[in-house]
Amino acid sequence: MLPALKSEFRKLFTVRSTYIMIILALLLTALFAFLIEGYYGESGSPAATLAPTAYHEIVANAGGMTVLFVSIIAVLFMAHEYRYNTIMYTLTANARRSRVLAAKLLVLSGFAVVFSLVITLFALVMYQLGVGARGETLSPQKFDILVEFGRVVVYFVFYGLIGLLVAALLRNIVGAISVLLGLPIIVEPLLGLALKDNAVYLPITATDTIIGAALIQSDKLTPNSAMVVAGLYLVVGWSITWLLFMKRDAN
Amino acid sequence: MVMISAQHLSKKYGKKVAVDDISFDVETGKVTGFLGPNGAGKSTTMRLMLGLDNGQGTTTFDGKHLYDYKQPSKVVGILLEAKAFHPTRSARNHLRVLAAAGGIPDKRVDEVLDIVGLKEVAKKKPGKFSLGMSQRLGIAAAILGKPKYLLLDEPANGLDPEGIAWLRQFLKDYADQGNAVFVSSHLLSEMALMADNVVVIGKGKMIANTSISELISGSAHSSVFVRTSAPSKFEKGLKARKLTYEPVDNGIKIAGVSTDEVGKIAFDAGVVVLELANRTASLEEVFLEITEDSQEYKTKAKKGSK
Repeated sequence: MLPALKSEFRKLFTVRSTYIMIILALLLTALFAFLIEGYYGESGSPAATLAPTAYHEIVANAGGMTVLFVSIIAVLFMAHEYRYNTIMYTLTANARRSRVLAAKLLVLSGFAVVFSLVITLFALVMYQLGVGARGETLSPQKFDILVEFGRVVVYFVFYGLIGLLVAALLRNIVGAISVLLGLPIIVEPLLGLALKDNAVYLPITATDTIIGAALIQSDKLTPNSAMVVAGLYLVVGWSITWLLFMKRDAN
Repeated sequence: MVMISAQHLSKKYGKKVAVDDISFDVETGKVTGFLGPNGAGKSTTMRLMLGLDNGQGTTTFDGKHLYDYKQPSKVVGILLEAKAFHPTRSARNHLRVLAAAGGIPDKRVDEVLDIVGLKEVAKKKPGKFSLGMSQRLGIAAAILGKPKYLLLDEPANGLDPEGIAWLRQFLKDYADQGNAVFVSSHLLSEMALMADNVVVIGKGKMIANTSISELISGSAHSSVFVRTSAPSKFEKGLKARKLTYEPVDNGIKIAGVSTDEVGKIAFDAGVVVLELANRTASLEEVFLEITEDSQEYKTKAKKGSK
């Protein structure tokens, strides 16, 4: 298993798209946390008004804004194998397909954990600097660091796994990214019109509810129960993906 | 016995049979050519052998399936497609990724880059490599784990004459070291120089599985040319033995016979032999002869037409 993990790790960090996505996510976080919420503070949000829930707001919004970058990295990580046909090397060097898939899941999950922590810490530091530059002082914060960070980590890992899953099924970069953007922006809001309060049980909405970043808000689902719902979707989705990965031709 | 054994390989795409119950062995110490017209199923067969495509049949390497090996990269090296790399991952990093997967030390990466002549461009992005350079990178990937078996699909495509000559010698030497090389190519003159055995398929079916020498000697294009002092008298001798012949260039071309036999016929007929020569068919002639009914994609122009 170790060689497979090492190889997948190298794959992830030897293409420039990974670094471009990381830089874009950091720039977006800096723009939002330092400039918009910290320095100008004109949005009227708890973060802008330096309210006690400012940190929670920053963490949720920074996560919600940048989590798609993890999904896109995951899509490229998987779909590039098929686009450039390197999958034949991957599956010949390690003829056990389950091991290959497990290595991809573990490496991507590990990356999502580190990425989520970096983004969250960076957002808080940027926000604090922005507030300082504005010449204001923050109210004492209601912020359970372990709970908040834990949820962000799960949130990013889940989004990474969703990206990987969609790419493993479609094996096509444009198709997979379209699905990732289309589900939260078009499909689930439209379904939400019919499902009303129950729309929080839809996969992307449930996942977004983990950190309170969902477009459809409802009291029906707490962050912890959202974690369970989103996790169940992932278990079912990955069971199907796993089976197909074992059975399909590698091209 | 130490070798690759492919047994009853079959693959369908919908109703179309791409590979139809093909079985063959690839012996160690030899280069085995894999020939067939376009669409014959060569690439699919190779993919089936490696477990990349799901179909019927089994392929064993030294009696074991590839997935039974802990480090398959040290058993089989592959080149199925020249441009199978991420275009912005450097050549060296591409090989480092493969080395890591196969449990191969990184220093081997620099060795193989040197072997295939890509050391100078190791840090370049292969997206801008020519086809020949891409093939060299593919060959480097194939030999990375010093595998006992090489499966190469059209490795000479895009190589310059120096590259082709190098590849030919390299593969022959590789086989001579007790390894087995299974290589497909449309460069039949190269194959004739390089291969010991040959597997020929057409429309997914096995056509021939033999040594190159046997394949050529058994061809209708292999013949004996003879010029005698009394052709009509000599022809009577041929007719008596029911041999196939045709008059050509002041002599006679006889199929399916050895020079020894022709000499004997001439002696029995009491004619003087003025010229006697073996005319060996080229691999291209034999290939076109045996795959005539298996050409999936035929051009309209006939031989000799303008």
